[in-house]
Amino acid sequence: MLRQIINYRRFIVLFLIVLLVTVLLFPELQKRPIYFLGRPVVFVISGLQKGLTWIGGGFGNAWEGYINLVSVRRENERLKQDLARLQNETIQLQEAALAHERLRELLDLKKTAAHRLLAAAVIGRDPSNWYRTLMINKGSRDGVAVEMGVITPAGVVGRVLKAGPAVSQVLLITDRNSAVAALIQRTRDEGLVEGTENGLARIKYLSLLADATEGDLVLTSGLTGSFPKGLPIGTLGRVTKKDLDLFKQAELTPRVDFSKIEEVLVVVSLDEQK
Amino acid sequence: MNRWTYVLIVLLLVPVQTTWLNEISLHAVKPDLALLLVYFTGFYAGEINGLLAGWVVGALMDLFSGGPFALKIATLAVAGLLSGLMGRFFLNTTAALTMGMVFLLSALNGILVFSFHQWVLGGIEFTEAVRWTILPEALYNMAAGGIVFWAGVGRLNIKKSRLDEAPFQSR
Repeated sequence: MLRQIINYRRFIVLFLIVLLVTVLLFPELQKRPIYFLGRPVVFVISGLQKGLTWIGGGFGNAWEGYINLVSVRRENERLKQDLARLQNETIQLQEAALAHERLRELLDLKKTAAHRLLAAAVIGRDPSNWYRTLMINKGSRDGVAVEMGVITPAGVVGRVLKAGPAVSQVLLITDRNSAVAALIQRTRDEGLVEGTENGLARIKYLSLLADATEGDLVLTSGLTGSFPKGLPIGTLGRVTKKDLDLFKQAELTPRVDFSKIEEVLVVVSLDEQK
Repeated sequence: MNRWTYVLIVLLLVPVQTTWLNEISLHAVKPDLALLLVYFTGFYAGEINGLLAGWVVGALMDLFSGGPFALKIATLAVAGLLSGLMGRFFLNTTAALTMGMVFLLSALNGILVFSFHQWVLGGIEFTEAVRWTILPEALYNMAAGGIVFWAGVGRLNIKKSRLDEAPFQSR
């Protein structure tokens, strides 16, 4: 009797399962309601899936990245050393290329200039904030003397202030104690370039009739003995005239970036070189 | 501090001031290491040593400066003397106090240099000098003084010398 009941129940269960599968297979029942019921389950299961995948992946990564690759650390160290060495070499090569470019410009200027020039390297700057000077590695032994002009391919740098046997000090045109006779290229008006408090320069004693405007190029006039005529000094900024002043003056932006000078040329003689 | 260490610092001062310090200059203004050295010498070792240090360091600076010789000697000697006198009022100091005193000393130093220029050459406007040189320099020196105090004096535990003992004895 019991066996019959069990067989009967088995049959019912089997029948219900087949029926359920059959019903679920119906296209009409593939639509939203049933799928909607499955969502929470999918959500929970997929969350677990993700968790397990993450753990498995992490373990795999840990295995592959830290445990199984004993040699990678050594290789990494070696590659880092190689990279540092190559970066260093690249910087040195870039420096050499830049130095070559600067020296080539200096050499070109030295060859083409009508006057005698002496190349020198900048070895230091003024220790004080009150003066704008440079130290160069050429002195009286090399033919450098006080008051000689100092230039770069970009333009006028300054004048030799002190000349020791092996080193010299150059007063920049941006120093407030510096004065260089100049003229405006376009209008031919003459003036005097001197340094300002803020490390720039200005041109003073321009005639009231001077038609100087912003952007005009200022050159050496050749009236002071240090520089030949026509070397670029800078470009004019705002031109001003105070009431009752007899002259105009203008701000001047030097052509040379004094914070980046590494090599200069000393105008040893204004005589034409042979 | 050992005497030879001090001599080495003095000798390295000018090369560092004229080369490396340009890399950290702001608007062509850089900290004045000579003033800092003289200040700390005067403050910790007394006004006579401050005066002497100012004289020696000033002479070295004058050799490499575009200004007239002896200007730095005079201003730094005064700075050394004043820092020594200031040091008499304090048994010990803090970074904030150091920064304040360095600021005052630097500003005074700047005004002295300005006065000299005005006396000899003239033509410099005081407001322009304050704006472009004296104030930025004093602020920069103040910051550098704080750093030197924090990194050097505070950590090395340098004590002020007593009036009855000679400073900078070699050990």
